[in-house]
Order: sequence, then C-alpha cells, then structure tokens
Amino acid sequence: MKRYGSLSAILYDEIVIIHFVIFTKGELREMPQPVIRKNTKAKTDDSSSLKGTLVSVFMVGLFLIATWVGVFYLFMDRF
Amino acid sequence: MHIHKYEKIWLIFGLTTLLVFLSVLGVSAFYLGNQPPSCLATINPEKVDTTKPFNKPGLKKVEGKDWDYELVFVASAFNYNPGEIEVPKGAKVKVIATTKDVIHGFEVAGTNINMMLEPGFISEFETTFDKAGEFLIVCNEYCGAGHHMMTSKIKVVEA
Ligand SMILES: [Cu+2]
Repeated sequence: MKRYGSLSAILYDEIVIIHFVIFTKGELREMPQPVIRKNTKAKTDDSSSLKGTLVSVFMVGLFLIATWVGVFYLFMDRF
Repeated sequence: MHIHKYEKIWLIFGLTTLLVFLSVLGVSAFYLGNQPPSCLATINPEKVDTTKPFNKPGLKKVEGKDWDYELVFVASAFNYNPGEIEVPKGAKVKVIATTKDVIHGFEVAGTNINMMLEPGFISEFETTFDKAGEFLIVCNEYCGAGHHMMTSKIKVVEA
C-alpha cells in the first residue's frame, strides 16, 4: 500500500478498522476464545455409497448381454 | 471379511453371466457336437488334385449321409475352383474345402460359412441353404498380390 501514497494508506486503515468493528460488533473485551471441539463428525461426501458403481456395472453388463443376444440372433437368422 | 451389499450383487451377476456363457459353449461343443471347421482331417497339399473328393470340385449329390449334397472347393493363389456354383434352395449341404498352396480364407458373405483353409488340412461346414440369392465368396486371409481379386460365387436357386 505504501507506494500509493498516504491517502491510500489512510483509506486502507479505515477499512481495516471498520471491518474489525463490524466483525467484533464493537465488543472488544468480550471476544470469544476459540474452542477446540472434540468428537465432531467431519462433513464430507459419502464416498462409501456404491450406488453409482452399481448402476455403471449393470449398464456395462446389460450392454454386453444385449450385443451378445443380438449377434446370436444374427447367427440363428443366417445359414 | 466385509463385502458391500452392492458388491455382492454384481459379483453374483458377473459370475452368473460367465457360467451361462461357458455353459452355452460347453453344450454347443459336447452335446450338440459343434466343432471348428478344420478339425483333425488332413490331406497331402501336393496331391490335392488327385485326392478324393478334391479331384472333382463342385456340387454333388450324396446318399445315406446326414446331408444331401457335398460342395467341394479347392483354393489356390488366387482363385477358387469352382469359380461359380448353383445350389438348390433348401439343400442340406456339407461344404468341404482345402488349399493347394498357402493359407486362404473362405467366407461366404452374409452367411455363417466362414473358415480358414490351411495347407494340409480339410475344412468343413454343414448348413442348409434356405435363402435364395447370390452369395459372394471372398478370401479373408491375406495370401499374396492377388488376394483382393480372389472370389467365387454361390447362387442359391429355387429348386
Ligand atoms: Cu487367398
């Protein structure tokens, strides 16, 4: 910020102060101490679900069976 | 060992299809007696022209066999003998073929007749010609400079 001169520096300071006031709601003395919470469940996507895999496997399987049946009927139709 | 429920489902599905396909193959081979076109029958490739039935290529009627006709082909670079043949529609035919020189193919386009002709071996295929029309025979094993011109024709005509 220094290279923009003192006006910018003042504006920057103002913004920092305003933010500080907003986020602390002006109550400087009653800032909550960070609490370390234990035994919390991390919220992540449930990667143990195999539904998509099941669907994919059956899509491939049914495609294979369909092509096999198709070729078999072609075989039966020809002499 | 823990196996996921879905995993069990597709493992059973996969194993079942494998068993079905293998059973189809087994029934086809051991119960229906299907075999590859070239199956242990041998011939001296230098004496094809004097060995029965290749001394008279073409269609001939036979008695007392499971099939009514024998259709004999001799392949050599780069033609088939006969170059064209008529077969009555509905005839139960055993196609018998061999080669005098190198490996040739014998594919009757649009049918299930498709076999390799190897020097020293006799290839056979039994079928009923139940569709009228002209069927092109092509060599589908590269056999030399004239490979692409190596053709013959089967005409299935109304009996
Ligand atoms: Cu050829």
